[in-house]
Amino acid sequence: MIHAENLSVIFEKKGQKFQALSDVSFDVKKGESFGIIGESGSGKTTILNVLSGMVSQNSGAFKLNGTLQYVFQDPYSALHPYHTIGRILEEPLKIRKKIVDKSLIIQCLKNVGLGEEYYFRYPHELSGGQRQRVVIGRALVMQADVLLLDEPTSALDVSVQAEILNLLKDLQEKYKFTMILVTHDLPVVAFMCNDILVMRQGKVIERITSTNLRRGMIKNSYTKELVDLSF
Amino acid sequence: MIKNSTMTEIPKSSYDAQKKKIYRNWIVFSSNKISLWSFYFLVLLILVASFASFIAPHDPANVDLSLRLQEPSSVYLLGTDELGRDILSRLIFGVRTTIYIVVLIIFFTVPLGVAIGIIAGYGGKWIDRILMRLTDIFLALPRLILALAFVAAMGPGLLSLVVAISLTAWTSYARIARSETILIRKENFVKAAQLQGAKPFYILRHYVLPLCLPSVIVRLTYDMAGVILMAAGFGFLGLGVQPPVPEWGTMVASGQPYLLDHWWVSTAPGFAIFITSLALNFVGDGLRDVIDPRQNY
Repeated sequence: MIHAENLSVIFEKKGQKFQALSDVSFDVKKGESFGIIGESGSGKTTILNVLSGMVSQNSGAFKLNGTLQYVFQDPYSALHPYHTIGRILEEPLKIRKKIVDKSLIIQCLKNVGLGEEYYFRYPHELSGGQRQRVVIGRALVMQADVLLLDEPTSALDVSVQAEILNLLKDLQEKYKFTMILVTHDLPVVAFMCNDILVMRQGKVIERITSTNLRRGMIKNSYTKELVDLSF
Repeated sequence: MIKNSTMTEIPKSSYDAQKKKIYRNWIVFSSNKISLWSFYFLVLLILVASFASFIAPHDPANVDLSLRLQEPSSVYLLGTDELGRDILSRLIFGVRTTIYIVVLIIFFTVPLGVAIGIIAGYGGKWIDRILMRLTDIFLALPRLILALAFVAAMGPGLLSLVVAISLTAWTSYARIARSETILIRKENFVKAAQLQGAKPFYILRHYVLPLCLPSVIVRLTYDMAGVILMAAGFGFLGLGVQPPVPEWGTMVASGQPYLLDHWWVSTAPGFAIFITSLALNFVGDGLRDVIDPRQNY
């Protein structure tokens, strides 16, 4: 599904160079949940930006089959403030000039745990968790093959976080899309993903399965440190 | 956030949703009493302009030298001018001229300025640089001298006035639209639309333009006051609308030689200009509170 090889990204600001990614390689299979974990500034969001084409890599290459949608950290700016929820969910169809079937949109609202009554609401009338559900619903409507999740729950309450994560897990079982989840929250990534990439200062430190992580079969000392800090 | 019964009801159509949004904005706007009354005043002005021929007590162009410079009386409520024309009637018909000028200038400046601004802001890089330098060039043109040049070339009149003001006035909309666009472009919902495969034109039309409009409209209301003052200023200098068409600035100018002995000739139109631009400024303040684009995100 996704194959990335030796991705490097250098940001330049006022002559100062900053290596955001250096020689990052990974593979993600179709239908897999792939986690990327690291501190802030470790380059994890940059990977998503490269995959979605918002940032272009300085060297290296990646192959990606299928359509993407992004689930943003901040659900407050992810929705068009002047569009109703229904319109937001119809947008992928409108953009591709497909026929808009309202029953499909309502079905989608139900799939993400919102009722029909949200169809004519505006985003500002919704809570953060509800907005994040709409964002996920939008990705379902456009039948995205890959969901890029950038800290999808870090702006939400703890109780709502669990709801959203469970929703994502259920939907993935149902629709078999591929997920790339970026977070600094180890428990979240261990819960959601089978395969985890540990990043530090733009480099891949270790690739580990969540089973091995839970069993404590960790090779790298930095990963151990992360685990000790969060459990 | 306002809580009331219409907020909790479930909207059943996009009309409902729209209505609710407008209602909410109206609550915010009408909570500012000065803005509200200014808004009513402007509505009244539009009504006066529409029904000028019914409201005006006399013919605004009727010259009668035997009645020149009459003091305000029960027949001529605001007196008569140096040609014996009823000032109140001229004031009432003058609303039409003012609205006509303002609408024409909006028509020439806003679409052009906003289009250039959002294209520059969204395109970035060299598109931005070329379009904004072009804007700077037009911004640098001195309005008054330009107006004099147009008057020399095309003769004094409404058209030269409108062209002279429009040529420089669109630049402010270009700047506002550009700075708004640069902020909107970075928003996540725009990125989401790009990932859905939306073309730049689609994004400009459905995402950037509607979100730019609030700031543009607020700016527009403030600018209308400026346009009225400028048109009146040009009229005062004799560069604007020519007699016998009643225009407030020209009316103020015509009273200038008699200012000390016959104060009412200049006072009434001057007061009309003052009140109208003040009302527009207050309405602008009220609108700014309602459609602050940031508050909706």
